[in-house]
Amino acid sequence: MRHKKLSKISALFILLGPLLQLNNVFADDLQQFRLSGFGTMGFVKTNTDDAEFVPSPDYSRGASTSPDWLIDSAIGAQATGDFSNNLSGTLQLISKRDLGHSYSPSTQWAFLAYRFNNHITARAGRLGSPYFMVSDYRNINAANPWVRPTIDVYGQVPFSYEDGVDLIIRSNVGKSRLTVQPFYGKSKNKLWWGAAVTAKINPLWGLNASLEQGPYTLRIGHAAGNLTIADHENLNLILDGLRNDLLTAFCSECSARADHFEVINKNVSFQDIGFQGDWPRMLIMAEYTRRLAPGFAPDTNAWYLTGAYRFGKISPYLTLSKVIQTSAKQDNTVPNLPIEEIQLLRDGINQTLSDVGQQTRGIGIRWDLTESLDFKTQLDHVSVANTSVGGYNVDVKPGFSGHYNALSVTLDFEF
Amino acid sequence: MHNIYQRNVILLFFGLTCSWASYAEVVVVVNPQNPIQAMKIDEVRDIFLGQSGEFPGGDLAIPADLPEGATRDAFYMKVADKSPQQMRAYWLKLIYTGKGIPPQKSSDSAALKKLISKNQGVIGYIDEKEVDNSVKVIPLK
Repeated sequence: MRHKKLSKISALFILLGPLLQLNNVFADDLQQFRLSGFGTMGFVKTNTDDAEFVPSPDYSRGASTSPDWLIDSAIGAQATGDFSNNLSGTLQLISKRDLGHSYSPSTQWAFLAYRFNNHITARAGRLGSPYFMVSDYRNINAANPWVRPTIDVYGQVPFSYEDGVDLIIRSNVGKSRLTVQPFYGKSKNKLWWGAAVTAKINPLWGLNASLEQGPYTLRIGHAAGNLTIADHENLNLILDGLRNDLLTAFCSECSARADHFEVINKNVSFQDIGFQGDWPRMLIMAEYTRRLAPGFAPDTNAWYLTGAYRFGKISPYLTLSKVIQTSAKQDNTVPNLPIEEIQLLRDGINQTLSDVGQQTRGIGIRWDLTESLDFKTQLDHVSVANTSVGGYNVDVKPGFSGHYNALSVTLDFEF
Repeated sequence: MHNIYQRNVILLFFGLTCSWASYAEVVVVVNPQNPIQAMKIDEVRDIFLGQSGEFPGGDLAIPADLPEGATRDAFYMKVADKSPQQMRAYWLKLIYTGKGIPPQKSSDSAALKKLISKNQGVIGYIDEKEVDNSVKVIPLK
């Protein structure tokens, strides 16, 4: 149903394209319709086979000592058209590996924007979600210093767009430019949580504000909504176990505990404060974030700090990042009885709640080859808090030391 | 004797600075019919960074870029204090979040002057040496 709707939108763009191009002739070579594209070719290899590195929580397989050519690779195309002085439309499709290992293009942006005046623009449709400082352009690697935003911080909110509306309100405050962006909608994504799960936030709302002056940007953001993760079979088994009549007979709190752990229509919220200093010779970026999640989904705090020095076209950089779990890492509601089912239930709960924390130290270099081509290489050292969980890594095997290095090479291009 | 030597050094230094300055002197140009007489650097910057669509008097302003090269690099360094790498990142962020479209690019300064001479609202920049009567130079305050 939705695909039909979107293909109608693309057909509209294709039909309008030549018309708007024709319009150009009358406007004396001034363009009103633009097509452009971008992409990244990437390569990642690590020095362990005991866990696999992934760039975000919607990957079920990642890189190990056998190199992966596709986890950072993506290609996107965008059409933008001005229908009048005030109304414009944008459609962006991105093809990259998804959880099902399919590369079919997904619609990242599809919206109409109406500009009321120099200060206020309203947009409706599919919009990139602005949870983090760079999240609405996280796929445009060339716009960022690193090979990818660090999963330690950006992995906390693995939703890249919402279907809804937003407002972009711009004003000048003294010598600074203030941009305020409220948004409202709903979002959905398939994630890897030991198994494929569908995560939905509905409704979703948020507000962010950024203040820019010269090379400095200060940004604060808040987002909140109701999160539902209903299709995780192992978690549902645990919930059924907690609600089992035989257990509730001697554990009166167990059933209430199940209600607490369940993630159905429960409040989730996220706050972010970010700073950027961007000079011709130097770049400093930092974000501090906090996620408050319900039930089995852990609460986390995360931050990163990046510094880059620009020697003309060559920019070496350093990044430190860390995510820590702030919610309880175990639960002792279920009595410790020598019954196998009960022990399994206790283990299952504590395994699910256990520490997801990890930290990454990265060093890299970016080389701008032309105005539409850059090359980056980055070496990360990843350390996880709990080796049996393995942080954000997937396919964690017994005996994982919790420390490894990952080497990434990417080529970003526009066309 | 000493004085003549000193004067020569001063002249030589003056000559060098002049030739250096004229090497990368970028000027902002508009259509000769455009009523604008002078602009602040910030006003020019806002138009070229897509943050304003108007001349100070309120007339529609359409910025036009030159291709990659020394003149363009010098222009953005002068008005926005941004290197070519920063300008690339700046536009990528706006383009691919649907928040802005960069100035359209002319193939060279001759094409840019032609575009300006045909459209009253277009504003561009060229090397001072390329100025002719098809365009009007706007002094920057």
